[in-house]
Amino acid sequence: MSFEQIIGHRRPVRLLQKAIVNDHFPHAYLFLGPEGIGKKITALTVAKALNCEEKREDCCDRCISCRKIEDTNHPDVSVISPDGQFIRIEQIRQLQRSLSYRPYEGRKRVCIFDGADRMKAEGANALLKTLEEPPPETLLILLAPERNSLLPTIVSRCQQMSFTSLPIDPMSEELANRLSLEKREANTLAELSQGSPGRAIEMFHHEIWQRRRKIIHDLIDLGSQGVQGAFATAESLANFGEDLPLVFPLMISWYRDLIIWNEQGDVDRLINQDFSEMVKQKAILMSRKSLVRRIEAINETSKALSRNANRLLAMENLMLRLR
Amino acid sequence: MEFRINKKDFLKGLAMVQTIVERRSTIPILSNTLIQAAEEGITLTATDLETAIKGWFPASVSLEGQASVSARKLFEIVRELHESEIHLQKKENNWVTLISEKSVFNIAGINPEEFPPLPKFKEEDFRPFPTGQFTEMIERTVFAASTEESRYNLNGVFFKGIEVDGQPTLRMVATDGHRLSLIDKTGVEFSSLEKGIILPKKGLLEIKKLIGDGAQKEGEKEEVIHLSLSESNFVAKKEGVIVVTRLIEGEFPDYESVIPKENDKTVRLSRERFISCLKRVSTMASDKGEGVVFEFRKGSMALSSSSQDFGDAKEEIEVDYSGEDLVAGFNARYLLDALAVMGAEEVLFELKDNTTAGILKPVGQEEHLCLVMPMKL
Repeated sequence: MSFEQIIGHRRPVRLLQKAIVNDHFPHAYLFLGPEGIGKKITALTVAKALNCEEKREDCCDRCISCRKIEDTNHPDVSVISPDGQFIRIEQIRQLQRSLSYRPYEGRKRVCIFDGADRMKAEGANALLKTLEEPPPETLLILLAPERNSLLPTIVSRCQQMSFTSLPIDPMSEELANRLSLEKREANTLAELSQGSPGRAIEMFHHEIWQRRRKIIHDLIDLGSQGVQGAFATAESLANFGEDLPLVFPLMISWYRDLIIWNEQGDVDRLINQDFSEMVKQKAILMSRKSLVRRIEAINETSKALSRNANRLLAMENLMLRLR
Repeated sequence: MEFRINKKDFLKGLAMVQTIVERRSTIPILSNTLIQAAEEGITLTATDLETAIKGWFPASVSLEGQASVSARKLFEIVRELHESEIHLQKKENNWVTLISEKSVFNIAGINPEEFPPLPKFKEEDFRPFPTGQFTEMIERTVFAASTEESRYNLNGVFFKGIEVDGQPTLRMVATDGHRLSLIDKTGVEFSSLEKGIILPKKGLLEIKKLIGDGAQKEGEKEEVIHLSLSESNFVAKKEGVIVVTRLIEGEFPDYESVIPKENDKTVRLSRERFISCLKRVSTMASDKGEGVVFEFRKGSMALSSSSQDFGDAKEEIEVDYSGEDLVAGFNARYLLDALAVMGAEEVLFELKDNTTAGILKPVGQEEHLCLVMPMKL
C-alpha cells in the first residue's frame, strides 16, 4: 500500500513523507494508537518508500524492492512481533547482531517492532543502546497502543507520532470497496471496529460477523427467556474461546443503539441499522440507567477475561446481569 | 527453466547449501536455494545474509531460467531418489516440478527475483593463497572467538597484514575476552589488509570446508584458494564454488596490550602429557568454571581441582621449572582447546604471577601463541 492509499492519518503521513524527502530522521519513531488502525501499514510504507526504485516520496508497490518488503523477503526490512505472548530478548539480540552489518542491498534499513509494549523489561533494556545509537542508515519504528505501556526510557528515546481512530465515513467507504459490502453493512462494520481498519477486516473474516444478527437476537431474547436460555447463550458465546473479546463491541453496540434512540430518536446514528425497528420497540421498555449498567457489566466482563477469568463462568454471570 | 541433471552432482550441490540455509528465518526466501540454469550447467546459491555459497554443477539445460525452492525439501527428495537422472522444470506461479523415473514432485517456490543478490566482485581481484597455510591459520584461532551474541566484534577472527622485521606478515587473532589465540605467517602477502578485517566464524568455517583436506602431498604442487576482499565482503573461490562472507563491522579490541611481555617463569613439557593430565584433573573441577589450580615448585608442577559435590583430584608432573614458587588457577577447557590445535610435540607455558595471563606456545612454532586469563580459585 502506498502513502496515497492509506486511509486517514494525514498528519503523520505528511510528516513522514517530509522526513523521507529531506532524508532527515530521528533515531527512532514511536507510533502510538489503537491496534489495527494502520500503524504497521504506515511503517511498512515508510520502509518501501525509503527503498523504492521508482518513486521518492512514496512507494510504487511494483518494483522488486517493494515486492520483497511486501513478501517479508527484504533482507533490510525486519518486522519483530511477539513470539507467543512477548517479544523475547533473543529476538532483540538476533536483530542487534544483524545490525552489526551494513544494509545488505537496500538504501536504508528499517526495523519495525510490532507490539513494542509486549517487550519484557530485560528485552526493552537490551534495546535501549540500539535506540540511542542506531547504526548508520538504520531507522527503528516502534508500534504500541499507548505510551504508558512502555518503559519511560524507551519512550524518551523515540520521536512520538500519534495515530488516531479513523473517521467512520471514509473508512466505511473503503471497507465497502475492499470487501464489496453494501453501504449500510460497511457502516456497521466501521462503527463496530471503532475506526480501526485492521480490526474491521479481522472481524469481517471471523465467524462472529456472520453470527452478528444471531448474537443480537440472543440479547433481545434474554429478557423473555428463563435462566436456562441465558446459560445456553452464555455457553455458545464462551465457545468463541480466544476470540471472545471480539463479541463485546458488538454487544455494547446494541445497548448503545438503544440509548441513542431514547435520547435522540435518530435512526441514522444507529450502528445496527438493520435492527432499527427492533431498536424502536425495545428502547421504550428500558431506562437509560439500566442500559448504562448493562454496558458497564460488559466492560467489566471484558476486563475480567483479559485477566484470564474462566470464560464460561464470566459469560454466565454476564448473561444473568443483562437479563 | 528446464534441465536434466545427474543425481550425484545435484546431491553434492544440495548438500553444500544445507549448512547455510536458515532453518528458522523470519525471511522465508532464506530457507530456499536459488537455482539458475544456463548453458552447460546450473548454479545453486544459498545465503543467510552473513555467509553465502554458490556452486556450479554440470547439467543439460534445455531452457535457461531461474527458480527458488526450499533447500531442505529438495535435498530430502533428491537424497532418496533411486534413478540417476533427474528432470527439473519450472511451472507457473514459481512452482517447480521434479521428475525422476516414476516419481513426480511439485514443489512450491518463491519468485527467484526476490532472492537476495550476492555482492558483486571482480574476477581480476582474486589473489591465490596457499590453502595449507590458510587452513592452519583458521584452525589455530577460530576456537577462541566469542559466541556471545551481544559482542559481535568478537564473534570473528581479526585478519591483518603487518610487518615483522621488515617482512610482510599476515596475522589472525581471535579472542572472547577470557582467552586469545594469535598466529603470524611470514612471507605470505595479501593486499589491502593494513587496517585489518573481522571475518565471522561461520564464514571462516565454511571457507575451511571449501578447502577440504587440501593438505599438500609429497611432490605435488601446493593447492591454492583464490581470495578477494572488497569494502564489506570477503570472497573465497575454489573449483567452481565461491563462499562470500560479510565482514563484521566495528573495532577489534586492542589485543596487543593484553599480551603480557614479562612472563619470566617458563615450563616446557610434552603436549600429550599436559593434555591427558588436564583431562584427568578437570573431571573433578566444578562444572561451571572448570577451574584447575596449578602449583609450581622447583622441578614440579602440580594440578589440582575440587568440587563440593564430587570430591577432589591432584596430579604432579615433573618439569624443568626453576623460578619462585607460584600458585595460579586456570580454566582447563580453555587450556585444552588451545593445546588441541597446537601441532608441536612440546609446549611452553609462560607465567608471571597469579593475576597475569598465562601464555602457551608450541615449541618450534614461535609464530603461534595462546593466552589464557587466570582464575581466582
